[in-house]
Amino acid sequence: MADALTVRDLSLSFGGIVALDQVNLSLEAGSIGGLIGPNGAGKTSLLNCICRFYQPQQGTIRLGNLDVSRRAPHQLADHGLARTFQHTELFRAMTVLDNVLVGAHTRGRPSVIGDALRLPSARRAAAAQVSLASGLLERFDLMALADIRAGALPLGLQKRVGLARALASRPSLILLDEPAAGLNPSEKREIAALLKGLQREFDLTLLLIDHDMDLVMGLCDQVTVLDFGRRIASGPPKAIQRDPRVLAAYLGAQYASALGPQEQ
Amino acid sequence: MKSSPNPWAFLRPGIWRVAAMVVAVAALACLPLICTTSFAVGFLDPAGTYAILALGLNLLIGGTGQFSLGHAGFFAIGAFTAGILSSNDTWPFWLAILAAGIVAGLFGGVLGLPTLRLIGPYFSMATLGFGLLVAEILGTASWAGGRTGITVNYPQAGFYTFDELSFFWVILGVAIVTFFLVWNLRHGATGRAFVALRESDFAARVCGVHLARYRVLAFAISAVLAGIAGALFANWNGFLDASNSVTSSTFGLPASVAFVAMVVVGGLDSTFGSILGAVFITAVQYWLQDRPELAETLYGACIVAVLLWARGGLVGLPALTRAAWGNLRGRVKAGEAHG
Repeated sequence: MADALTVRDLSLSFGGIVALDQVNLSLEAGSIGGLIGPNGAGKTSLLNCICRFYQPQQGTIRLGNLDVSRRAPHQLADHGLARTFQHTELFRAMTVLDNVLVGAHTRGRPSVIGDALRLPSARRAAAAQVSLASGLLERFDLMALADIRAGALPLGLQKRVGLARALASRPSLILLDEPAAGLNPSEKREIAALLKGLQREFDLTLLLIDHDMDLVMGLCDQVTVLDFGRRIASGPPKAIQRDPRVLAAYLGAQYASALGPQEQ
Repeated sequence: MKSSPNPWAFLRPGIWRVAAMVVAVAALACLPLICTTSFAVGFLDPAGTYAILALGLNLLIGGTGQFSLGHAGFFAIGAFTAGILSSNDTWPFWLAILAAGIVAGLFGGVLGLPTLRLIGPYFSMATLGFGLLVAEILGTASWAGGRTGITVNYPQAGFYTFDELSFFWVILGVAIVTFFLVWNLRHGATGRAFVALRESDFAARVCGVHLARYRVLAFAISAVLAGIAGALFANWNGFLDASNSVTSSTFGLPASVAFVAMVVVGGLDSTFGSILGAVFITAVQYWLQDRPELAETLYGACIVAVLLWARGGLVGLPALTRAAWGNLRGRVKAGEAHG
């Protein structure tokens, strides 16, 4: 199958500090990719490059066959990219429904005149957005909370709203920045099942960052490991778990070498 | 979405709201028939005029979260555009008002583009500088009347000449139309995009919201409405005094601060609150017109009080009172239980 996301030789530095060094990553359409590494390895920086918040000094980013290296962040929703955030980044003062409606922004194409005069075109677009958003709220069991301020919800629910918002643009690729961080074990199992289900239901490609190895290894078809901005390993979860470089990055070289032979 | 046992329940808030609006508008329209000219010039006309400005400014401040301290600049641009165009009876007043809105809007777009990346205090400082610049230029330019000012004739429609009293109907009409346009905008997809950018511009951009377009748009809309308000002011005030305009309470920094006070005291991000705030601040200025420094102190204190205790402003007071009342009752009950 064709690749949904291709990152080639991506390098990013802030002043003298190298955040990403010649990173390569490709993700087959319809698969779930994992991105792991110690804190400060550059995982979120890579996501921010793909979303075009950061301008890498070198390298290309493709969504499908389209080179988006020079696109503006707001243009990517049109090309099927959506994202959730580590700290949810919900529109806290807005209701749950309004959050999801902003997710459907590109499906409405609002115009000032249309909105101000409530032209039929604007009303039709609004109705279509509301029915799309309502469907998503049903799917995520959030319908009862539609009129609640998003900032008032507990973290687990906020993460669900974030997912619903991401899906509202009808994306083909979603980047998930620590979807399970801060959740308790049962919530983590829930979110893993939810992601798996969504991936099949909406025919999605997912790229997720997480520190929970059970989640990553259980969910992903392919895992990429970053350390100090470099890709140190990439492959199926089984191989990654045994890779001595990965163990060294996570545990420190001396422990890894002590552990390594027993594992083999 | 929510099921209701009464199938006609959905009609009720609509009917009551429409009825209340019709009554309110009718009552307002009767005011010029019974009030004095000095009341019209001191309270009615300015309250209506500033309500139009506050409606636009609240889209910017309340909606996108960008605090402008320079909207007196757009108000002045509108006032002088209309004043110059209609002072020698060349342009009909309504066309001059329209032109004033367009000119102020153009300035808003031009200022909005370079300042769109500025947030928080940096944006406020940039707009403050703009306001001072406009006031300074108008205060010294000969085409703006210089030290003698510009006299604006009473607007005419056919054979009818408006006066300070009857011009309130024009202001009221413009204010009502503005209210509905702004209300629709705020509660439509455009308003949602404004608020989304305020809450998290990262997330909003991922959702496809064009940051530059919406920030400039909010700024330009608020500038257009400030310009139209300025043009209306030129018509009922009849005279534009540009001297000392940097420190003047019509075109200078004190005016910009009063505009922000209207929005904050009325209720941030509330369309109806903009009107309440404009009426409230104008009332304070009217009743303390012989003690302007006292008026400024009072609404300064109102800003502080709102930010500390009542973030919703005047429009949020009923909910706040209900919550406080419920809280008090809860405490009394808890006390009884303990007692």
